Formats: sequence, C-alpha cells, structure tokens
Amino acid sequence: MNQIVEPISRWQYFWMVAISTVAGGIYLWPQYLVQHMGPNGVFALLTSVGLATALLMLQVALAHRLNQATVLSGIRRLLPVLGIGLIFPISAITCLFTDLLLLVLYGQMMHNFFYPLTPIVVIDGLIAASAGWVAFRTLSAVARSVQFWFPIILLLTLVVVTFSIPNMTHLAALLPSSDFTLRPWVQGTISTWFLFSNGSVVITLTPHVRWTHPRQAYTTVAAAMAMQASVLLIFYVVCLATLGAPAVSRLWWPVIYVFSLISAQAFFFKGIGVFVLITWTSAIVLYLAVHLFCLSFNLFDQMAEPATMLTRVSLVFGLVAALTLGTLFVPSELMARALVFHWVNPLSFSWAAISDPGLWLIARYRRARMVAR
Amino acid sequence: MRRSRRALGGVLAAMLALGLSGCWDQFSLDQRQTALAISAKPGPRGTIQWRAYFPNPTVNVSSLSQISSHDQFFQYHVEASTLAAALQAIQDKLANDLYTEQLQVFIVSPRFSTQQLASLIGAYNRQAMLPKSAYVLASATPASAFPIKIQQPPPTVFFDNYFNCRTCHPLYLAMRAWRFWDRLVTPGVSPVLPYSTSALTVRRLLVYPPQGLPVIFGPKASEGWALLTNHVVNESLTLNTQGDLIGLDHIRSHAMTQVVSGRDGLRVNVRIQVRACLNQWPPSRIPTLAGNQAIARKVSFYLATLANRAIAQAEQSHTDPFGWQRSYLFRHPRMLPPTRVGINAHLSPVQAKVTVTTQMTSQGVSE
Repeated sequence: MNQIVEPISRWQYFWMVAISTVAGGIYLWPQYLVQHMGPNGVFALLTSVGLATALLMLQVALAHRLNQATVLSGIRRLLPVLGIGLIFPISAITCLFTDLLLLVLYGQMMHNFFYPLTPIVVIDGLIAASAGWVAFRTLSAVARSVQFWFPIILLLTLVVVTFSIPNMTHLAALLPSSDFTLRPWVQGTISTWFLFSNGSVVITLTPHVRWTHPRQAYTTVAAAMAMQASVLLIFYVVCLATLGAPAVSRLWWPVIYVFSLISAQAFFFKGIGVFVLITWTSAIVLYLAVHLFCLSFNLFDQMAEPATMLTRVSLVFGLVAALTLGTLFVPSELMARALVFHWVNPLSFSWAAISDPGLWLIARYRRARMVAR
Repeated sequence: MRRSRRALGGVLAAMLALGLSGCWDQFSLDQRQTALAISAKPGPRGTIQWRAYFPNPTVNVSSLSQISSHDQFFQYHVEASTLAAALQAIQDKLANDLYTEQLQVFIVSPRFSTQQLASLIGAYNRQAMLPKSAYVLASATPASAFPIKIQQPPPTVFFDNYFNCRTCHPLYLAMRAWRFWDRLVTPGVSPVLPYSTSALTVRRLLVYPPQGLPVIFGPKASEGWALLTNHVVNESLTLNTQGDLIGLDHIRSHAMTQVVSGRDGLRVNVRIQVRACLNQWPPSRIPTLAGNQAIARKVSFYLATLANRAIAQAEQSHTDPFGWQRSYLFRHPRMLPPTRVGINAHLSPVQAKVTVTTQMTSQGVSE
C-alpha cells in the first residue's frame, strides 16, 4: 500500500461525502428545477436526492464487496479489460468534464458579480490550483481541511440566509401546485443531476474509514445526503419565497442574486456579498479538491513502482493544468450552460444509473460463484 | 522534498493573493467616480435622456457646512437609447471609471410606458454591477432639479435617506429595483412605483397596466393600496365629528387576505385590523368606552372607503396592484393566459370585499 492513505474517522468521511456532491454547482441551482417544474420543484428536488442516495448506497455496498484499496484496482479485479478500458475512463471523464464546466460557470459568475476586469482564466486557474494544493496531500490531511472548513462555510451560509429572511414575502409561492405532470418532473430531476456527480468519492473512500461496524457506512452516507438535501431545501425556500417561480426561472444565478438583495443597514459594510464570495469559493475549492484527490489517488495507486511524491504532485497538478486549459476551450458561458443542462446531466445520470447497479450485480454474481465453488 | 513543497506553497499563496485580490479591478479613488443616482426620461426621437449624479470629490467633511447643497454633487447628462449605451457614454464623458455598485436611487419619468420601463428595468436587472437593492421611483420634476437637500457626511442622496427611514412616513411606499423587476416578470400583479411630484414627499403611486402609460393613484387611493398590502406604518388621522376635532396617530394596519376562485373570477376577502392611538379630543368630551367605540367605527368606515377607492381605481384601469391574482397563479400556473409573460398578464375580474376593524389604544400619560 502506498503512503498517502491512512484511515480517516467516520465524521471526516461524512464531511467529505457531503462536500463532494452538492457544493460544486449549487450557485446555478434552482433555475432549471423551477423552469421545468414551477411551484412543484420541491418534488423533483426530493426525487433527485432520493435517487442519488440510493446510488451512493449501492456504491457503499460495492465498496464493501470489492474490498480493495482503490476503486480502480477493484474494478480491475472484477472486469480486467472492460473495467480499465471502458468503465473507469468513462466515469473519470464524465466527472472531470462536469467539474470543468462547473469551474467555467463559477469563473463566469465571479467575473460578472465581483471581478469584471480580471481575466476569467486567472480566476479559474487560481481556484483549480488551490484545489490542487489541498488535493496532493495525504487522505487524512485532505479530510482535516474539509472537516475544518466545510462547517464554517455552512455556518456563514446560514448567516447570509438569516439576513434574507425579511425579503421572503411570497410564502404562497412555496405551496405545491395541483397540476402535476410527469415529463417536467423527469426533466426537473435529471436537469439537476450535476449537483450529484460524485466522482467515485464514496466508493474510493469507504474502505479507508475506521468503521466499528460496516453498516455505519450506509448511515453516514445517508446522513451526509440528508444534510445536503436540507441545504438545498433551505435555498429552494429562500429563492422561491423571495422572488416566486416566474422570476427564479429567469435568473442564471438565482441563489447569488437572492443573496445580493440583502441590504443590512446595521452592518459596517453594505454588501453581505463578501460572505457569499468567501463561502462559495472555499466550497468549490474543497469540492474540486476532494474530486481531484480521489481521481489522482486511483491513478497513482496503479502506477508503476516506485511511485514518489513527485509523481503524485505532478499527477495532481497535471489534472489542475488540464482543468485550467480546458476552461479556455469552452467558448462561452451559454455554451457551458447548454452542455451542462442538455448533455452532461442526462449522460452522467444515465451512466450512474447503469454503471453503479451493473457493477454491484456483477460483484454479487462473482461472489456467489466463488462461494459455490 | 519538504523545501520544494514549501516553495510551491509560497508561489501558490502569492499567486492567490495577487489574483484573488482583484488587481485588474483595482482603481485608485481619483480614477473612479461613484454614481449615487441615475435618472432617465424620454427624450426626442425615441432616445432617452440620462443623468448620473456623483458626489463632488473635492468636498470633504469639514467643508460640508460652508458650501451649498448643490455644490456637493455634480451631474452628467447624456442621451442614449439603452442603459448600457448610457453607462458607456457617461463613462466616456467622465474620463474615469464609472462605479455603479453604490447606486442608491434610479429615478424614472412617469412618461415611460409599461413596455419601455419593462425593457429598461430588465436591462438594469441584467447588469450584475448595478445594485438590485437600489430604490426605484418615478418623478415628474425635471431631472436637473433633482432634489439633494439633506446631506450627511457619507454622501447620500435625498430619496435614499427618505426611503431608508421605515418609521418616518405614514405609508412605506419604497420600491427596490429587484422587487419592481420581480413584479414585472411575475404574472398576476401590476408593478407599482412611488411617485414623487414637486414636493419632497411621496404620497402617490404609479400603477403600470399591461400596456400603455401608468395610472396615477392619488394620495387617497395610494393609502387604500397601502392598507390592503400592509404598507401603513405610522399614519395619523384627524376626524371632524359635529365640529369637534379628534386626532389619531400611530395608526398601523394588518391585512389578512383570502383569495378563492369563484365561477365569475376571483373572490377576495380582506380583513384589515387597524390599531390607532387616540391623542387629541375636545376638552368638553370625556372619553368613554362607548365613545371610543364610536370613533373606532368612524375610523374603520373611513379607511374602508379608502381601500374601496383603491380597488375601484384598480378595476377601472384593469390592473391588480395588490397581487391577489399572483398568489392564486402561483398555485395554478396553468391558468395563465397564453400570452408572453413578462408584462403582467391577468386572469379575470376580481370581486373584493373589505372589512376593517379598528382597535383604539392609548399611549399618553393622562386622560
């Protein structure tokens, strides 16, 4: 085994799973949800969280069955050719591509709201580099960073949410509507899947946690998802109750917009937007860091010996450079949005829905055959 | 290894500090002018006349008392058909960077039609660098006579002070840019703007119908609107009963609205609870419980008249400044007529019933 992994605690795992899902793209949300579902958006929200939790449960089950250091070695043992040649690359590329698009959109958001004259590639590059700076360390160091910062991010977010309570005047907008149709519900569910592209974090980390009982993994993942679902629900309530569904569906960054409306006269400074800037940037840095860590850890584990620290650093910063350079090839923000909502979401959803249960079934079948022998 | 890691960390930290501190967006104070107010009115040949107001950078706190209020600000005037072109033209004239994030008020002319204003506010809302919490108001006075009378050391324009005070005015009519935009894009509610005529008080409203020029709600109809939408914060009232003057103050109201769909449109039931303080009455009249109740009934009757006047005016102009249809349409989005949303679409006529109950209180120290 290599030196970058020493077991982490259950709660560190909880925070890492939580930040690896929703934190990356929440600033884009819930425009598409509301656009499709109108006042019934909350149903699509609950469905997508439920589906994501179910798939993560399958990942935990698979990780328990594979019982390998990394997901890549597990898949290699399960399906030597198909796993290395097809399944893992598709998973990794989908995840990296989603991360790239979210980074582009985040950079654009920062450019629009805060730094109009700073080149976007500088913003993107610095965020990716900071993520890399966290990600090339050992697992316990990454976990400590997440465990320290994520609660602070959540607390600051909560402060900002409290300040926007006076603006929440359309409580009628929260009531679900009586006309519920299937198609927008499916669209609303799938169009927010970018929030849940997990980047194999659960399946990679599960074997490296000090569990007192294997069942704890399921409850911890469920708790992490429940926490993120409640964050989503809070944001949904704030956006809808402040603006109503028709206005939310017209905004590209509804959450940021809603928080920019806060005008706290009592504060020394006028804009609470500073908090949003700090919290969102640190959230996306940690989100990218956890994804980068898991991907590079999987790759690093398969590399020929002797794998030195230098290999690992160059691997992580190679990925960072790829992300930064990738942002240059996304021509516009509109294109990035179209890619996320019309291509990446359905693709990554279908891939997760096929690969997770598929791998789990294969692992189960193999185990049954081995036991039979 | 450790040394190289430290070096890498140092380089990264320096890059982060340099990059995220926004070097590109940094301007020194003499290269940047902060616009505090922008006004727009229709100009000739379909253009719009814009004016931007800036605090005079040569004024400092100690010189404030010596110079006249009109020297504390300076303004630029441009003509352009869109907001973006206007901001660009102002920046061009200034020969400085135009900083708009501290904008306090956006003043529009009442001569803009709903469509014109919707396009203007849409553009305003799209610009990330214009604060959405700035106040929007309509003013009939020519933009050059924009009143800047109260001046405090941090430069503020009058209407920002005016609307920031939540308890100074009988009715709180302030409209922030985002709320106005929200009303423009949400079906079932008519956008409303506070309307300031020549005096420095805001007692009137402009209500924007789906098309055409806005409808002016006079002081009484505006008060009715405020009663129906919970905007009465500190009203006072003088009743003249049989030659006796009775004074009431600290009038606050709370309206509870129930909207149900009937066969012939929406049926709205509004119950308004008013609390008023009796503060003055003729010495010949000893206040009794029955007397108080009679006054309360009079107050209720008077306020109900105001509310009904607002409702009648809204009906006449085919508008819904109260947002009753909105709360219904939130739950029934399918009921929307198939028109392009953006300019408020309306559902059906509204039948409203208003009940006002008044409770008299006393805050004095003597009978």
